[in-house]
Amino acid sequence: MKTLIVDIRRNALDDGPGIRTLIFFKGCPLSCVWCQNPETKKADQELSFTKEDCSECTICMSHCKKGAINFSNQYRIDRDICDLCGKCIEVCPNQAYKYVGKEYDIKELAELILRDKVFYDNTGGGVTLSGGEPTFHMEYLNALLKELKTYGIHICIETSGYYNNEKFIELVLPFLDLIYFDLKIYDSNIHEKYCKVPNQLILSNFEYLIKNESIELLPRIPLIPEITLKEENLRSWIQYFKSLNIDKVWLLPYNPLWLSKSEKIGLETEYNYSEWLTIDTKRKIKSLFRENNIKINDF
Amino acid sequence: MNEAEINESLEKFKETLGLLDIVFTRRRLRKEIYNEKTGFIFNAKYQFTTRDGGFNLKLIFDNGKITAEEGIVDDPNIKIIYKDKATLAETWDKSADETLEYLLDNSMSFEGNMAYLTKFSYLTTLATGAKIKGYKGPENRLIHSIEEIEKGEENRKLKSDALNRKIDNVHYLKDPYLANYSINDFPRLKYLKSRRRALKPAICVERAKLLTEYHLENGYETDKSGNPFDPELRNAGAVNYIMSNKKPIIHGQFLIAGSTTSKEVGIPIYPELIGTAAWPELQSLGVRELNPNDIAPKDADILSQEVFPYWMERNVREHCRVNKHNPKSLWIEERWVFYFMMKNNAISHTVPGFPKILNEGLESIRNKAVKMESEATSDEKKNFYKAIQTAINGALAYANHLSEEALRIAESLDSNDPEQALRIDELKEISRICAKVPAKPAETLQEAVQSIWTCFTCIHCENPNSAMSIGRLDQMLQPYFLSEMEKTSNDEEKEKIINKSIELVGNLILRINDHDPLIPSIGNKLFGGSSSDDTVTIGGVDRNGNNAVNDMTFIILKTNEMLCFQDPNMNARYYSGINSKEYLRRLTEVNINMVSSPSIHNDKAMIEALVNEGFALEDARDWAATGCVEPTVVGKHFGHTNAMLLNMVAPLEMALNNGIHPLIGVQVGPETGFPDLDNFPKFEDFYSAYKTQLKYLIDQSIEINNYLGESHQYIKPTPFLSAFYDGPLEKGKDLVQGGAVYNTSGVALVSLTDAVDSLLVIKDLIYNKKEINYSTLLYALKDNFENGSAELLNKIQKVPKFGSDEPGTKDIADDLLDYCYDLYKSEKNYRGGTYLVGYWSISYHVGYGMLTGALPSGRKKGKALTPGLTPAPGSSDLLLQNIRTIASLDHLKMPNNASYNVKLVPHPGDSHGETLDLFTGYVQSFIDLGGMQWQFNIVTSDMLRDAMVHPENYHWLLVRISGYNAYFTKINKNMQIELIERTEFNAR
Repeated sequence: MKTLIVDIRRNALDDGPGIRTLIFFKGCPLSCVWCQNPETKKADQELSFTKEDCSECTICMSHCKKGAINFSNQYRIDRDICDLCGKCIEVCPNQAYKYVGKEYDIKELAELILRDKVFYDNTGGGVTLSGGEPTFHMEYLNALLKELKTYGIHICIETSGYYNNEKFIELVLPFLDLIYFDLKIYDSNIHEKYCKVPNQLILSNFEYLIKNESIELLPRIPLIPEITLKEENLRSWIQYFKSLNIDKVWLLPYNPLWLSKSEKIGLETEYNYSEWLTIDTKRKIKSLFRENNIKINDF
Repeated sequence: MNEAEINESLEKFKETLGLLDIVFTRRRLRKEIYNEKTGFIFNAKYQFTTRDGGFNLKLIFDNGKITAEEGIVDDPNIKIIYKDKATLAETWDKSADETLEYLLDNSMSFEGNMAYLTKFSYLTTLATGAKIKGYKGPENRLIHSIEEIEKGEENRKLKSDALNRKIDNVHYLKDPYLANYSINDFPRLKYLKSRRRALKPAICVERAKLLTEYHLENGYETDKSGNPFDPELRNAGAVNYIMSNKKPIIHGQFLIAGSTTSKEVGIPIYPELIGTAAWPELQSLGVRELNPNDIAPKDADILSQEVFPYWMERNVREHCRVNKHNPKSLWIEERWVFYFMMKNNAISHTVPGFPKILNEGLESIRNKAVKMESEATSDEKKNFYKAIQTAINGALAYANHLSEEALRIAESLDSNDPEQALRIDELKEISRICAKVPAKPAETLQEAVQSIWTCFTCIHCENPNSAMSIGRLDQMLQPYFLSEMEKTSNDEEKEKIINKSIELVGNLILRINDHDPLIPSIGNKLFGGSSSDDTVTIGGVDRNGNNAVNDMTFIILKTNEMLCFQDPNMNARYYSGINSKEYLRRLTEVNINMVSSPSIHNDKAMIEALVNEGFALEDARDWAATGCVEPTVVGKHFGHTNAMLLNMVAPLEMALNNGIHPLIGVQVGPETGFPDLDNFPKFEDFYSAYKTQLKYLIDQSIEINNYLGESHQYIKPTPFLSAFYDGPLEKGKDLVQGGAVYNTSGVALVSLTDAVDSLLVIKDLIYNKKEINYSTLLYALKDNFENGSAELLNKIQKVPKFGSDEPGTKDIADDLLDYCYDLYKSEKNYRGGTYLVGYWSISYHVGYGMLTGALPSGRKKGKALTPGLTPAPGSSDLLLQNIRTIASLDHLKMPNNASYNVKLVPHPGDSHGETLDLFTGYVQSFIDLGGMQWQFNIVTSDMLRDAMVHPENYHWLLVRISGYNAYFTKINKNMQIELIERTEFNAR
């Protein structure tokens, strides 16, 4: 069994306890307008082009059999024509072209992860499944996690919560040690507007875990200006957490650097907020949660 | 300069030399070349010449008359060779310090007796009227105010977690981390610490003067009756004379008596070794930019007129040169860029058997020597046993003088003054103790500390202060600590004993800092900021393999953390699985608080490596670090662990130039062919040329080390030091003759990383990808990647390097480890022992870097090479890849240890506990993966930059160079920059 992986990041320290390896799966059922990892949205392999690396030597253009490369195109590649043959990657002297997504079979990926086992063991770390949406690949996860669990690897998942709960309970949940469960917009209509799907399934999956499972779970909210960051949305979440007796939440501050990532894969963006959160905004959010006795991370 | 200017300058040079005759008829200066009082008459022949022989000038000193003229002189004492006429024209009127640059980059070189070069340099300094400036003597001066020091220390924010439970082999400490103690609880230590930091060290001529006096009276080559002087007896007599006449000093407030020199902080001189190298600087030592040392004008005269002349021919370097008829291997050494031979400076670098003296006392050893002398069958052995007795008698005389001095001071104090009354009690106790130890066994903690210290000072009357290491201090002191604690069941009393123990260890640490090594400017350039490196080792396992981490381990750690001194260079042994993780965590915490100390050793790996070299398991378990990181088995092993440092990049430059070293410009190694694809059709062919050049240098390095060792046997036997070891008494042989149980020599191979990375680039770009050819590469190297090399550098940067954990980046390193190990292993040293190879660099990666051209790895000319066994900056942006690479190297191939330097920065958002968890996790993982040794620098580059601008705030800032650590504000700029440019791994 194989699946597409966008990136494997070793020595990661921010996504779960200890030293971890982060696996970015490709493909997501949601399509949030602010997605911080736009290269993981599509389930298929893609081609990226980094303008800063290009010396405009045009070797790529002369080698492209499909004529998909055009130097007057903002994104350089006409992705409707491109068949991902990879010739441009091969000939570019500056490595400006790259495939996004590489197939890994279970054994190969497990080996890569296990290579750093000693670091996980000594720091309480492990592997974190991220993406994209890891639950998009439940069968694959099932086989991978079975293998990893025989070595006692601590497993954490970062999920949007948009999955088939029965399958999740059967194939994935038994192997997990920690879940980062992302919640974005409380109002389902607005959720659908910005994330392209309604949120009922997400909430019901979340509530199922809270009410029926003992696994360690941490809800996370990405702080997206003008969208999730609206006070009304945050207040709704706070009420929701209170109703479920949840007193700890992780907040993810907005990072505008994703915009350049979108450009590399030729993705038009409908949301273009390019500023970092101000200290003032951060302070307001922090006090909102603290006033309501909900513990948050320092950011 | 154009031709006319060159000729004009050379004319002036001739003229100036001609004027020397007039200058040195002046009364004050005349003594430098014609001294009726001492009988030193300087007769010498100098030859100045150019490499092509096109210009020759001779300078002759003949019974006080100086002549200079063009032409060639027969049998010059020294030939000073300039690259060409232009270089000579440019150089001759430069200061000693500026000349050094020319000497280092080989624009200027010499053949012959080096002391004649240093003497000449001093004479010209005097002729130009240089005078010692700014000397305020006679005692050491505070060059910073105590207030400035203490204010700067406020930048040190110590973080301490408490543990509050016993771990390892701790018996009494309720909180082994001693989190509640601070320097403010120890006002005596606090004051002495700041005072030491503020003091300007001063040259001490006491030892050199006494040594010379002794020989003037008793002879050297022959004794008073004209018979050949047995070197053992000769040295024992001299050492006895020095110890017996050494001034007994008890510095105010100290709890232990005695000093290495007659100054508060002094630099002892060993003219039989490197002493005369300081000659050119006798007028300028006090004002040089780096590590200035005070010197009194009268002391400069004593050295120049009474001491050095006696030793010009009687030093190890010169003895070797004459005895072995100018061997090529010495010529190579004097070109600076290939290898450095420590035996010219010292052997020392060992761990004397202090435990033997604590248990037995020196008297008992002397009595054994008496008995053995009577039973010995050969004169040689009889003389050796006699020599041991003579030497020990000197030490006992010194101890008695200390005892008398303590009483004398006590009597001079006023017993009605409460403060002075306290001191009188202390001094009476000191007097009692000095009358007892080291003659007799020690019975209390204070006696033990005093015994170690008295022995230490006496050992330095004989042996240079060059990494004479203390050894396993926690193991030595723990029995005394336990027996004192056992005597009381009262908690308050116990608390007092713990306090006293910290106080005593603190006193010892501060005493160990009472001397600095003599570092001529060349040394500041090559190994700047180095101390004497008197190393202390803690932790690990005992001879039976049991957990040896004890109460004193933690007391020593705490004391060291509070004082934050360069010496003792602290080394911690960590035996994973036997020593607790909490101990490792504490080691990490001390590193966070001290920035760079202690270094952490994988005890299991080290012991395995020693056993693999034929050490008995019990002995291997009793190892202690020496100097930087090198292992020595306490009291059984004479292993001159830094016998040499060999530059692994030099043979690469030679392989790229058919055996010619580009800096030297002449054939040095074998002709392996100029690199092109005809000569080297496959990568393996070039690689084999590299190995041929490497082998050539290794063979030469072994030869010269053995030659120098033989000279030590004549010039510098060590009967006193021999008394501390198992072996010499039994065999009737001095340590330098192979008297110890184990007799190895230690090698440090410098900058493996740069050699490997360069080879990887050649392999990948020329052979695998065929993207470039040799001529492109050679052109770029010659051009220092200046013009049109951007694309090439880009390609080079993309080649996966050593430390990236990418497939194939480690094979060459593995192979070279095997290759060097086997080569050194195949030869014996002059004491019948083997060579142990290690990978650490002191600061030679910077020194060698200065002398190395651009490298295929993309490193530019003159830039520092990589320290120790550390991947190059940029090889990986993650620490984990580096760790995996270094840890996977075969530790059995580096029995002289390695130093892996890691610069880490805690994340500002992490708590102290989180940082500790993470950092401890890295070290534990490194050790689990088989890594040998780990050295932290926990500091941000921003702080280092700030320290360059505001040194006054950072007198305390200790950084790890490679193996040893140094005060950041005292190292040269190149080294400061190298540290800043090291890869900085952020914890997030």
